[in-house]
Amino acid sequence: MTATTRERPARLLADSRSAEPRARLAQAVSRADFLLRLSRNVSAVQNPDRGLEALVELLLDEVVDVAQVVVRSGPHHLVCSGTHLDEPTTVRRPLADPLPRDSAATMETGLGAEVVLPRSGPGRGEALRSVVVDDDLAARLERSEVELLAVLPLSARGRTLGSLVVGRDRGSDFSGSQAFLADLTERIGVGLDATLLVAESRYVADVLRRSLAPGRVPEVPGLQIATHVRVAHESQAVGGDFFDVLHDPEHPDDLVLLCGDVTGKGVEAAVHARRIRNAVRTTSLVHDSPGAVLALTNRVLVLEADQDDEFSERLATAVCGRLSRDGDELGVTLAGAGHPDALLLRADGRVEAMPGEGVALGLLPGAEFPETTASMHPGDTLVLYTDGVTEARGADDLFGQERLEATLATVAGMPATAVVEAVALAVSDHLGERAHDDIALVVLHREPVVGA
Amino acid sequence: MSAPVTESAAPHRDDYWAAVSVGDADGAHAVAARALADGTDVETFLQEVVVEAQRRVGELWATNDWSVAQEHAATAVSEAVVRRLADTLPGGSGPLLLVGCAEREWHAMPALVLTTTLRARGLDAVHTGASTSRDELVSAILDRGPRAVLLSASLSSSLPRLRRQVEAVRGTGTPVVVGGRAFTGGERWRTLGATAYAASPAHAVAVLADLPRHVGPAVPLAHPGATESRTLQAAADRVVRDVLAALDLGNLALPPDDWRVVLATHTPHVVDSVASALLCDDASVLVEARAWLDEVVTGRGGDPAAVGRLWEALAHELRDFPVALAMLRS
Repeated sequence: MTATTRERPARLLADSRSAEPRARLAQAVSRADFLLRLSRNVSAVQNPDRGLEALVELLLDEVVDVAQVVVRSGPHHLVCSGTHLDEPTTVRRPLADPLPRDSAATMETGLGAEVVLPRSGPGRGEALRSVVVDDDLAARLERSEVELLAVLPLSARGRTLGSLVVGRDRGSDFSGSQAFLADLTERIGVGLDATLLVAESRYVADVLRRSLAPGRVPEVPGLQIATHVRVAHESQAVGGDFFDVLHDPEHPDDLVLLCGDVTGKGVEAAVHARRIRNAVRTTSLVHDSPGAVLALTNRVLVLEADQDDEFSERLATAVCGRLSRDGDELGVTLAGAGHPDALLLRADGRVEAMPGEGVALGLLPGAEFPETTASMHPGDTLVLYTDGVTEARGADDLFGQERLEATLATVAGMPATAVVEAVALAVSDHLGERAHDDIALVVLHREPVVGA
Repeated sequence: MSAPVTESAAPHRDDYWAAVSVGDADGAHAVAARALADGTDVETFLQEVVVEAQRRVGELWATNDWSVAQEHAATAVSEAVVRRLADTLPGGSGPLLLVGCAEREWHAMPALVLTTTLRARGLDAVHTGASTSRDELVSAILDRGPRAVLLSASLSSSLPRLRRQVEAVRGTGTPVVVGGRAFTGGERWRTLGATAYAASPAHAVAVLADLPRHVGPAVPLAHPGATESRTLQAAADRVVRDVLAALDLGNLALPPDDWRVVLATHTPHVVDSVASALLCDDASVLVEARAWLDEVVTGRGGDPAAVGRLWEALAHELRDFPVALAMLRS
């Protein structure tokens, strides 16, 4: 570290108690300006690692020559530290790994401390290692001329959430800037507390969200499967449209298909959608026929609606199907429950609807769900979708069945991903910037025979 | 992280094109596997074979030699090839990089190629999928804290949406690098508030080394065109409708392929391009949009004068937008 004093830190931390009123005023203005930028900086970055980094960088650029921040974040201590001569580094340490004595004490008691470093000898290293977490940084500081480290508590909402260590090059200390440092640590504490709180909530939400998100689709030789989901509440990242494509463990060549839509949007709808997917997964183990799967699922949902107010108002529509392979034959059987008809896009561009006559799920205890069947030839494509596609609102009208069929006709015989992309693009162009409902699309394309 | 030294991929280019142009995914995967076995590295294969094929696909579509379906099929094959290449690469190391696309751009290819190139260079890059919404971007940033976000934009009409993405990313303190065909030339990226511009995946790697670690919020755009741009974006639906109603193609010869439909489908893109030009304070955005539309119309046997008529109709509808008017007439 250089022994030359850096200008800005010198001004912010100068002991100006005996200075000219004008100089004191100038310093007060600089300090206020810095604190404002610090607050903005710490509160904007709501990712703990990056937030700490931004903070330490700012401190090293403008206030001190050495800085270390330690906070508790979930099951870790997050430590970011460095000197003004290099980029700060961040490490995560399990809570079980003990922190250096003085840093730990400050986190426990909420009391600050000043650690005076001997000029040389083994005592210097010991004193440093009672505060500094990063071994590499401690070694560098041992060779530096820093004489004093201040250990300051970071607190918010009446608890200590971390500690800040700051140091200055030789010949400078913190006398006359105690109030400024107190102000600084208070703002850092409040800012980091919010960041850590957001991170904690996001972690919980993310785990739940992953359990609600659609599963992966299986790989099936000779069959391409592509899907597309756009949720209405993008910030919640989940919605009430759902789909499932599963291997039937009893008949390994068969696939169970499901695509559906729950009333409502966002996370509440997603929770209900997950229950329906689970019910279909379970009933598929009992029944082979999609109509029977929907009938049993419907009974489960009617019972739930009777017993649980949470679900009494929630309707769901769905189309459930089975793809069965028999030699070169690929048969599709579908049953619908108040859902838009699945479309079979033939390789030559004709579009055939596969009507589903049943009523929506969760309404009538004894409802029946008639089935339709078709054969999928090489080059044919089966399209399951939710009404978010056809009811996408344009400048003058809804996207509609006709536009969907016209779009499909242009991608007949194409790979599944190309079909999904074409529909997603057409719907997105039609919507422009307007709000939309949940949108889901599942496309299964039987690959053409090579050389045909 | 050095630039690769490699065999040229030229010998594989024709084989790859032969497979892609008929939508033969297995054939395309086989060419990729062969090229890599011959010592071509991933990055070179992407640039000299895949990107080159995509460029040809775009040309064939623009000149109407290919249908939309053929274009979609070829693109789907190339995307599958790039995804598979990405899967063969070991997970990168170092700070996370998040790669996304402009909102409402559904061709994921440019961002996929960039992600795969970064990973081939040993970096930890993640692709967020086509049409990355601002909410998705911000969520990913809060959860994962990337070192930087890289956004690709191919269409000149995407720039107003890209600006909103830049605002969202910078609001979290994260540097944002932009690239793609929408940025050709000029200072558009700087005006839109991006931290840096990368002309190619290789350039992106170089740019990353010099990025600041943290950036402040985007500065509001205050030039006269910016206000017009916002007004136009809010009224885009109405403007498109009025332009099409006012469009006078009276005495122009109509070929069998009715290119009135072509003009109608591309007018929203042109109106958004005007909003882009205003926002970037750069009339050349409109020059590019017009050159592109000329190509599309003449490729479909239309009279190029029709594009001039469209511009006249636009100028009439935008008579209360002095900056836009000056750009349309420049």
